[in-house]
Amino acid sequence: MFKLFAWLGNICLSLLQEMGKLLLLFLEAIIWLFRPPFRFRLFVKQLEFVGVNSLFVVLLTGLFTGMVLALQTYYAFRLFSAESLVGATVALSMTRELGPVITALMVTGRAGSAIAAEIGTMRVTEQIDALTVMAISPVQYLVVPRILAGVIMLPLLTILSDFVGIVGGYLVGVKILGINSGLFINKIYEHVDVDDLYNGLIKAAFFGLILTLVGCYKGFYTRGGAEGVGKSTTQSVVLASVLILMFDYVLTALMF
Amino acid sequence: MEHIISLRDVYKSFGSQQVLKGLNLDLPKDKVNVIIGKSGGGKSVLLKHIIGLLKPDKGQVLVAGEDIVPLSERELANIRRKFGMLFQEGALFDSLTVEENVAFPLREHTKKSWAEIKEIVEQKLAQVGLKGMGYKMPAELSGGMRKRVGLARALALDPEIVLFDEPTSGLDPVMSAAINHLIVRTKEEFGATCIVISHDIKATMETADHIFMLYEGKIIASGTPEEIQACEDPVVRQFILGRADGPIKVI
Amino acid sequence: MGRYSLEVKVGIFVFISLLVLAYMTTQVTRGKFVSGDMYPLVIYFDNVTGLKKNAPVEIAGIEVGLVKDIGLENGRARVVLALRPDVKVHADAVAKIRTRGVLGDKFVEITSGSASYPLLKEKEVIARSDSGADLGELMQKVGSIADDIGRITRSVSNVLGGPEGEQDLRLLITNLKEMSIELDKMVQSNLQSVNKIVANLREFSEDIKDISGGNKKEINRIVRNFDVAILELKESMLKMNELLEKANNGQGPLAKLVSDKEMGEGLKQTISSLKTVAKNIEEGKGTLGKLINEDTTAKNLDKTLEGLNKYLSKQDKFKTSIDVHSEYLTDTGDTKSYVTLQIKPSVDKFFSLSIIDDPKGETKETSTYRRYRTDKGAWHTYKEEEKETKEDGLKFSLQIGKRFHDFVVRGGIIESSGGVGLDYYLWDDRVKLFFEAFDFDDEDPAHLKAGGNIYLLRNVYLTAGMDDFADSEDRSFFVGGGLFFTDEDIKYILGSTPLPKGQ
Repeated sequence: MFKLFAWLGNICLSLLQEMGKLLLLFLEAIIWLFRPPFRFRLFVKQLEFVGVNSLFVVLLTGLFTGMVLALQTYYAFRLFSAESLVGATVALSMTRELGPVITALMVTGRAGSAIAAEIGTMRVTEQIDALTVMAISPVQYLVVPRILAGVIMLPLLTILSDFVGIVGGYLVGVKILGINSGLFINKIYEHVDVDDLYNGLIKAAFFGLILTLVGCYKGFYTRGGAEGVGKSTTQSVVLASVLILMFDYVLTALMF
Repeated sequence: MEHIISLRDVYKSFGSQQVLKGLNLDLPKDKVNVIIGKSGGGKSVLLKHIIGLLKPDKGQVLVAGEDIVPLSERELANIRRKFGMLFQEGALFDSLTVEENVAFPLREHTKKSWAEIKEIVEQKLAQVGLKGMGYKMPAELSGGMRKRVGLARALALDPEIVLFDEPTSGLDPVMSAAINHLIVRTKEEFGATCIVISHDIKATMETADHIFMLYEGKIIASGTPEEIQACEDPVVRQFILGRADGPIKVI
Repeated sequence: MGRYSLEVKVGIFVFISLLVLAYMTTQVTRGKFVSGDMYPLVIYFDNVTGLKKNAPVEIAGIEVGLVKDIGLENGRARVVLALRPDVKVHADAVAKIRTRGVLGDKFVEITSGSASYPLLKEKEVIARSDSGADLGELMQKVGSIADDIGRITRSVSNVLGGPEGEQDLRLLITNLKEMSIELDKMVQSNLQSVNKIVANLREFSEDIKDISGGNKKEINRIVRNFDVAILELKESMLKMNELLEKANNGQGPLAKLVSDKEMGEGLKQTISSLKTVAKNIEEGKGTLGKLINEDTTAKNLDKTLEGLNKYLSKQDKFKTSIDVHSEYLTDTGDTKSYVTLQIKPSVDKFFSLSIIDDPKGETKETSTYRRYRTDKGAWHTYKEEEKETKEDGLKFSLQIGKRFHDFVVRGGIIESSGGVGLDYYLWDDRVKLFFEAFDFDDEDPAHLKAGGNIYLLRNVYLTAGMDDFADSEDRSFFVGGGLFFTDEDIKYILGSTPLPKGQ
C-alpha cells in the first residue's frame, strides 16, 4: 500500500521536475536570445529545416483535412438543408483549430523528433560538452535558433495549411458535392473574422514554441548512448503532442 | 614549482555513488601531467571538474589561483578560453566539415577574417598530419583521424592548458604512438600545460612529466615516472604492472 | 548561388506565406468595418432577447454598422451601436430589433429619420426604440392559433366522426334533398297565383307614379319656401349674436383698452414709425440698411465665410502627429532615438520628417591579448589596444508614404540615405510590422531593419526587432518604447492649459 503511494509520489515528483526543467530551459533560451552574438546563418538554417522542409507534408495534410471536413459536414448539414454553411464551417475549423493543430502535430513528427535526435546525439557524443568547453553556450548555439525558428515558421505554415484546407473544402463542396460556389464563398465572408485567423496564428506560434522547446529539452537531457537517443526522440514526440493538445484547449478557452 | 591548477578537498557524488572523496591535486605549469586510474574510477569526472563542466559538492577548484566553483556560466566562459580539450571520441560537430570544425573556435572567439582563419586551420591540420583533409566530413574519418582533428580544434586558439580525455584508447599502437608524440609536441611547441587522463601505462611512462594515481576517489600517489615505478604502494604496483590479483578487485 | 540558396529558399517561403496571409486578411475583412473610424450611438430597449454583440445594424436593408456593446441600465437594455461615419441619423429615427432567417438571427434596423430634425452626433441617444415582434412571441401566437384550430377540428370530428355521426350526416343530406323537392313542388303549383301577385304590384306602382308626376311643381315650391325660411332664421340669429357680444365687451377690461383713444393713438404711432424704419432699411438708408441692402457687401461676406469654411475643413482633414521613440540595441548597448513629425493631407497619404540620434558615433575600444615566446623560453603576454572613432551625427529621414488597406509603402530619404520601407498593420492598427532598406552604397550590404510596434495605449507603444541584419558586424536586436501624439491630443493639451492673456 505504501509502495503504491511512494510510486505515485515519485511519478508526480518526476513530472514536476520535468516541467520545471523545461521551463528553466525556456527561460535560459530567452536570456540567451538577447545576448550577442546573434548567429544569423544558424537561424536561417533552422528556418529552412523547421519551415521550408515541412511545407510539403503540411500542405498535403491541410488539403485532405479540408476535404474530409467538407465531406463530413455536408452530410450533417444536408439533414436540415444548410449545405451552404459547409464553406464557413470548413473555413472556421481550419483557421481556428485544425490548421494550427494539424500543422503543429505534423511538424512535431517531422522536425521536433529530428531536433531531439540531433541534439541527443550531440549530447551522447560529447559535442555539447565540447561547445561548453569552447566557451559557447549550447543553449544559445543550439536551442535559441530552433525555438525562434519554430515560433516564426509555425504561423507561416499554418496560414498555408488554412488556405489549402479551405481550397480543399471548396473542391469537395463545390466541385464534387455541388454546393453553389457563390453561397459557399459568401458564407465564408459572412462568418469568418480576421480575429479567427489571427488567433489561430497565435496558437500556432505557441505550438511552434512547444514543439521545438520539447525537442531541444529531450535532446539536451539525453543519457545512455544510441538507445537513449531513440528513447528521447520518441518521448519528445509524445510529450510535445500532448502539450500541444493541452495548450490548444487552454488557449482556445482564453481567446474565443 | 608553479601550480596552474589545484583541487582542494573535492567531494562529488552521483546519487548514492561517491566518486570523489576529498581529493587533493596540484598540477604543475608547462608540464605533461598524466592522471592514471582504473576505468570508471572517476578520472573523467575529475577532468570535468577542472574545466567547470561539473561542480563539486564540496571543495575548491583553483585555476591560476582563482576558485572557479562559485563562478557563473558567463564568468566560466572567460576562464575556459584558456583551455583546449580533446574528447574521447573527438566530439567533432557532425554537421560541419573538418575545416569548419577546426575553424569553429576561431570564428566564434576572434574577429579574424576568413582568409586568416583558413591559414591557421591549414597550419593546425598540417601539425596533426592531416594536411588537405579539410573538405571531409567527420563521418568519413577513422577514429584516430577524428582524434587528431579534435586535437587540432583544441589547439586552434593556442590555449594555455590542454586536456586530453583518454587520447589513446581504442587506437592501434602506431596511432597511439603518434598521438603521444603530438602531446609532447603540444607542450614543446605551443608551450601549453597538458593534462592527460589515461590507463595506458606504457605511453604514460614515455610522455609524462608527472604522474598522479587516482584510486577510490583520492590521489594515492604522485611523482615523476621513475618515482611512480619505484613506488611501494600495493595498489600502484598492481596497476602499473597490470596484474589481476591484488588490492584492486575487478571481479 | 550555392551559398545563397538557403536564404533564398527561406525568403521565398516567408514571402509566399505573408502574401497568402495578406490575401486572406483582405478577403475576410471585405465588407466589414474597422471599428476605428465608426461613431457610436446609444439606444435603450425594453427587451433585447437574442441580440448579440457584433450583430449587424441596417438602414433600409443595407448594413451600416454593428452592435458594439449591450448592457443593463435601470432595468432597460442599453445598446451601443457603431455606425459608419458616412451614415447620418436624424433625431426622430426609430430603432427596431428584427429577426432574420429560420435560425432567428437578430439585427437592429434604423429608419434614418426626416431631414427636418437635427443629426445625431457621437454618443447621442436614439430616443425612439421598438423591441419589435419577438419571434418567440410570434411563435407562441402561432402556437395558440394552431391549438384553437386543433380544438375546432377535434370537436368537428367528435360530431361527425364515428358511425353515428356519419348516419346523422347522411340523414341531414337526405332531408335537405327532400326539402328542396318539396319547395320545387310548391313553387310549381303556386306559379299562377304568384304571377298574379306580381302583376298587381306592377299596376300599383304605376298609379303612384302618375300621382307624383302631376303634383311635381307644387312639391318643388313647398321645398323652396322652406329653404328661405331657414335662411332668414340664420340671419336673425347672427344679429342677435353680435348684439350680445357688444354688450359683453363693453363691460370687460379688454373693451376699455380697445375703446381708450389715447392708447390706440400711441399704438398706431409706434407701428407707423416701425414701418418707416423698415422702409428705410429696405431703401438702403442708414448703416444697417447699407450693410444689408448692398449686394457687394453680401457677396463679400458670403465669400469670406466660404473661404473660412474651406480653410477650416481642410485643417480638419490635415492630420499631424508627432512620434518620439528610442531603441536599445542589445548587442552594443547603445540607444538610438527618433523624433518624427508626420503630416497626413488625406487618410491614405503622409509625409514624414524624422531626426535620428545615431549612437554609432562613439569611440570603440578593443583590446586583444597576444602571447609570444622567444626561442622556446618563457611565455610573455601583451595587450594590444585599438581605438576606432566613427563620425558622430544626427541623421534625418524625409519620406512620402501611401497606404493600401493594411499595407503602407513609403520611401525617400531614410537615415540620411535613399531608402524604401514597407509597413503592415494588424488588429485595427494596434500592431505595426515594418521593414525598411536603405544605405545602398557599395561598401557593405544595404542597411536592413525589421521589427514590430505594439500600441499599448493610444499614445504609448513598444517596439522590438532587428537592426542592420544583413551586416554581420553591426547586426543587433533592439527593444524600445515610444510616445505618439496626434494633433487631437495636442489640441486637447492646448485646450486644457490656460493661454496667456495679451493683445
